[in-house]
Amino acid sequence: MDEILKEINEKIQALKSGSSRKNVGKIVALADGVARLDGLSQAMYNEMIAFKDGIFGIALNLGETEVGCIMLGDTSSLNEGDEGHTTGKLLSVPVGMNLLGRVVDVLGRPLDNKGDIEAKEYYPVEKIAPGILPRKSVNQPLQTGILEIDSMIPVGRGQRELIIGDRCTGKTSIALDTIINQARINKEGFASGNKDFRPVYSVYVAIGQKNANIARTIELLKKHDALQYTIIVAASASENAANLYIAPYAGCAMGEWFMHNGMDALIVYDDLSKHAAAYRQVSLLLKRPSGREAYPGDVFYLHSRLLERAARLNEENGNGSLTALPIIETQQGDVSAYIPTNVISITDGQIFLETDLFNQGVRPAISVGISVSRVGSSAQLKAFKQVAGKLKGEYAQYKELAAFAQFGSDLDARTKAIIDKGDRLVEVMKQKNNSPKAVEMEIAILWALMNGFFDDIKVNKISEAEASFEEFMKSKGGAVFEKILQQKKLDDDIEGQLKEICGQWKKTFA
Amino acid sequence: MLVGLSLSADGLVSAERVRAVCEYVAENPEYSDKLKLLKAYLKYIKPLVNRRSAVIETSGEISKDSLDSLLARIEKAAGGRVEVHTKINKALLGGIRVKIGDDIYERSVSDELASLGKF
Repeated sequence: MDEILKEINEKIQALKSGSSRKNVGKIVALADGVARLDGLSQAMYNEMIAFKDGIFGIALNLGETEVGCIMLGDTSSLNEGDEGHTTGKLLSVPVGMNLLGRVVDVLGRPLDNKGDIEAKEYYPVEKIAPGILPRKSVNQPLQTGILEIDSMIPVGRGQRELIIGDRCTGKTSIALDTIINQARINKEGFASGNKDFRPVYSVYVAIGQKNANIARTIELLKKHDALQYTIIVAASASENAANLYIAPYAGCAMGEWFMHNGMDALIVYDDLSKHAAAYRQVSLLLKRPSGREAYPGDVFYLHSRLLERAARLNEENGNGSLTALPIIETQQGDVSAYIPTNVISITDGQIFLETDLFNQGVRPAISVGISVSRVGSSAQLKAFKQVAGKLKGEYAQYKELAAFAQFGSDLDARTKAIIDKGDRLVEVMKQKNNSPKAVEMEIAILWALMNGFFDDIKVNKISEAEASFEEFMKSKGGAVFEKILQQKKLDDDIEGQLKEICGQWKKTFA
Repeated sequence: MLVGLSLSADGLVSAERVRAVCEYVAENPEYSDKLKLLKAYLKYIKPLVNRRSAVIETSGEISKDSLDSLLARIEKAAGGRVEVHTKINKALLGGIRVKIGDDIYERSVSDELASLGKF
């Protein structure tokens, strides 16, 4: 009892006793999550405006006599004539390690019934991206665990890589597999006791998704023990447009905390098409002039200022990084639409998913021809470059020849060899959902493929052979895997060992 | 221009002048959309009126001396004459709240309790 009284006394002592000054305004109109207030002459742009019942809004339109405010949360208790006052604060969210493993809303309030989140720090939701001087080139790989991406479209820590494609082509799966792979690497890294190990923490921002889908994502991450390294920021389809608009910035602030504290983080924005649509809705309600496809004029800045906050900082600034995987949903494969072209131009590359490939059973349905990573190759492990350097070129050649080969049956030996190899490559690249591969395993598979160990296996048996190869390597390849991870490049000794193990596997599989 | 005509020599909005402006607008056939014009006039005149009018809320009666000294301080801060209205507000539970324009200055028990409630 004494302790409780002591605590209350401390709180009272901590209170600043004195007069307070507030700038107030009265609601003259409130509809669709947007309020117009008369007064608030001292309100600042993006300032939090407090209303009764703990409801907050953000001042987005500062007019001569009126202020336009987007409202966060349920506004059903507010009426015309109710007062709102300035708070002198920008919208901020809790940040820190305590958020890991939690599902929060756009204000960082828990949604998972796991109790309050004790946060020591708060970061403003809108923050200026790091400038030129604190940055450094991307030079560390971020392993997605997806063979096709890690080999041909590698992603580095601090990169912004867009995942783009039509609905139901596996965009979210790629992002979730990447999160699951980070969790797997983190677990192994912490268990190894390696002091130089740099974990990657993840932030998944669900924007305008169905609640059922968000629940499924949470369950999936739990199942793969990845939730403990992940923060989920949920702004579901049932929430108002203002929450959807704020969500990626809130998630970014949480991710930035890791970056500014010398750690590495990954953030997934799922998806920015819905984010742009929510911003369009807010802007139209605020009566801002609309432009192409009714989006407001600053829709490019909406995404550029968000994605610029993903960066790799140099040693003087803590050496942290924030890697962004924004997702964009296209309509009937049209990448030349307004929002897709905007985000393509902002990011450092894109992974394009095709419906046709998906329907043909090629999963992940990545269209290698138009997918690109502009900075990731400089971060790729040397061993990977050694085995996958020519892969993209060979794949492109195969695609071209395979298209022509449809028209005639007579093929010369060289063309036939390229097509045969390509067919096997496509099969090897197929990967099941939620089964990311370790980097050393990916290198071994590609080495075996490039050195002809899959050449005499029928194309329809390649997946089976690959699974068998992985099993064999797990039991016999421990020593060579260790060498690959230590040296990060393939030398004659490692190649010799790989050759020997592959030869042994071939006998068992045949 | 209509807003400028509504101010007296001391810079305050004059009720007489406002009335005259409204009458002028109502009688002048040059103005086609009178309602729209008067609405715009109201929009600009309202903040000026509010800025020169203060509402002092207290939880009980205050003496004339206290009120005068308070008024002097308010006028000094506002940089000119301010029209004052007083109001008893028991909900303050002690203390004072002054509203000038859209600014509220408050030192009251209810405000302190509200900030305590934020913990």
